[in-house]
Amino acid sequence: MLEVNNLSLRLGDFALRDINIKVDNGEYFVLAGPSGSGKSILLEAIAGIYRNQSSGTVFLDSIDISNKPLRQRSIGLVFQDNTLFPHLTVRRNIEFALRLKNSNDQDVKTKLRALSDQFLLVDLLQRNVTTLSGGEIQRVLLARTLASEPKIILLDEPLTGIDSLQKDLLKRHLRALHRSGLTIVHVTHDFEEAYSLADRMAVMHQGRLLHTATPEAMLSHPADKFIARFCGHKNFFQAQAFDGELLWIEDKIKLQLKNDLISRSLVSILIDARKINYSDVRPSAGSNIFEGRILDVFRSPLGKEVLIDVGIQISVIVDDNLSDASSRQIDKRIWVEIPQEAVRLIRVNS
Amino acid sequence: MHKKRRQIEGFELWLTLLGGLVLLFILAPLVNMFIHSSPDSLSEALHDREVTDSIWRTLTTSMGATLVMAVGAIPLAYVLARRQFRLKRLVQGLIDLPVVIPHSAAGIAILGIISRQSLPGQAAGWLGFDLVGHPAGIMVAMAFVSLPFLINAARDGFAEVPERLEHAAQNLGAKPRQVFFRITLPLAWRSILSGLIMMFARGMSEFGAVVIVAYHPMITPVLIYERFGAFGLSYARPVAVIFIGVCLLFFVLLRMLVKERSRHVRS
Repeated sequence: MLEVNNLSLRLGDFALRDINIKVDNGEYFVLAGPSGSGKSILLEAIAGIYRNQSSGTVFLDSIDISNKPLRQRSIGLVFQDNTLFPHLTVRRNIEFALRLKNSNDQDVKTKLRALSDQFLLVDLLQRNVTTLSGGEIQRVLLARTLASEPKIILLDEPLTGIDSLQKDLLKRHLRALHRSGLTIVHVTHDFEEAYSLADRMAVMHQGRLLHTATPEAMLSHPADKFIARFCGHKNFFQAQAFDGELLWIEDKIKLQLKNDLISRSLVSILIDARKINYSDVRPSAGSNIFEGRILDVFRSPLGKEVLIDVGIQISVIVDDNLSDASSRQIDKRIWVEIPQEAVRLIRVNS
Repeated sequence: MHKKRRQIEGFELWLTLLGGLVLLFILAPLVNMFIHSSPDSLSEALHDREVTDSIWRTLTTSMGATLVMAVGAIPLAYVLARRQFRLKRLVQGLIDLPVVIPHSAAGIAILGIISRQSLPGQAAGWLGFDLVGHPAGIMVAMAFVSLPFLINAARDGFAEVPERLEHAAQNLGAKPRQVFFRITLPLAWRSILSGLIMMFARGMSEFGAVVIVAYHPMITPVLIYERFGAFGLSYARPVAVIFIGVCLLFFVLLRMLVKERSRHVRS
């Protein structure tokens, strides 16, 4: 088990603050967050690169490794940039790691063969590493890291900058490693990537760990606006409940909504962008109708996404085929209806 | 559009012309010297034991100075490239000092620390020789003035090796010594070799510091000076021509070696 306790680190203007993580043996843990949130630095700190600058402790299998140098931590780190040794071939790169662990030539040979079979590197072994593609580099890096027989591997954006075919192949490799029982900590800025691989995930922002949960819980119950945005939710708001039938969204618009909340209690809400309606004319009946102005229109995988200012900014997704372009002109005044079934209340335990 | 291109061409012509004049300035004296040396005088100089001995002595002392100093200069270059420490700028400045001080003055300074009264001088005395007037003294003088070329080139070479690669090697379990010899040094090797060649070449061409430390035994630059002073231009010139030829030969050969080596490393 990897256990990071109260890890803090200051590097110039950037600081990691009080990071606590527990990763169980055999778990696939994803650290997610936007660029610049400190994910890579955290990974490098766990691996031991900032040993002399950081405070807090790191335990691996109940052993305190906080003061151990990089080479003695049994933590395999795959850096985000290509760290294959450019003066060595693919084979020599892997052998470099193998020979540090094995003195017997036969063992080196056997393990090299096993790793190159596992990561489909047999045809690449004699290649100069400067001629490899992004996906090939990652596979060699994985093989080289595993050659050093780590107890846990840390992957820094292993799928970034790789074409989609190679990415699928790499994901298969990663899932296979996970099934084999290896503990993996994987850093990414991509929620979908995290969702497709993680047992559990944590979201980082500005050097802090915001929330840790399973990907499903992260998506269905985002802890705050930042995490909701990161998970791809368009309409996540904080609201205040009144008298069991009103929600005051971000102190700006009032939503008529039956609820069983205590008056004045705070709640998070998600509004399904596909269930919101809008039209040029004010609907004659119904509640929760707001006048708004179209701010932006763009294509999304689900249809056209229309960003509307109704006091708060909400996103509406409309079917491309069912609405005509004239109803989506920027700055156009329109009427928005938010039906009761579009709103989901989230009570976050925090 | 067409007019604009012609304007650029005209400007580039000027650049080429001015650059060409500078090249001519370097080449003209050398070519002139070669033209005015008769084959007979060259052949005579080539058969002169004093000349060939001095050339051999110049090559070996400079090579020796370079190799001996490399043992400490390469680690120093690595520390300068990788570590931050107080007074680092001062140390950098100190390393460049031999380039800016007059070499005759450097010779006087070196004489002070290798004379018979000095500690190194006494140590040499116990071993049965005097550093002043000895090839070892020549090596000290050569090393003093040429060291910056090696240190600076090696430092730049080390700085170009991404620290990430060293971290990656350590992460795989390599000890600092293994990281240095198997990753950092091979990757910086091209710059280091360039630095070694520059130091060797600079050492060979040194006159000012050496002539003060050791007039005898003569290295070729001193021999050229002596022949010019004693017998005049026509006697000094063939020696100069031969020495320049030897220097160029070595320079080109070693450069080719660096190219060959780096091509080998890349492929």
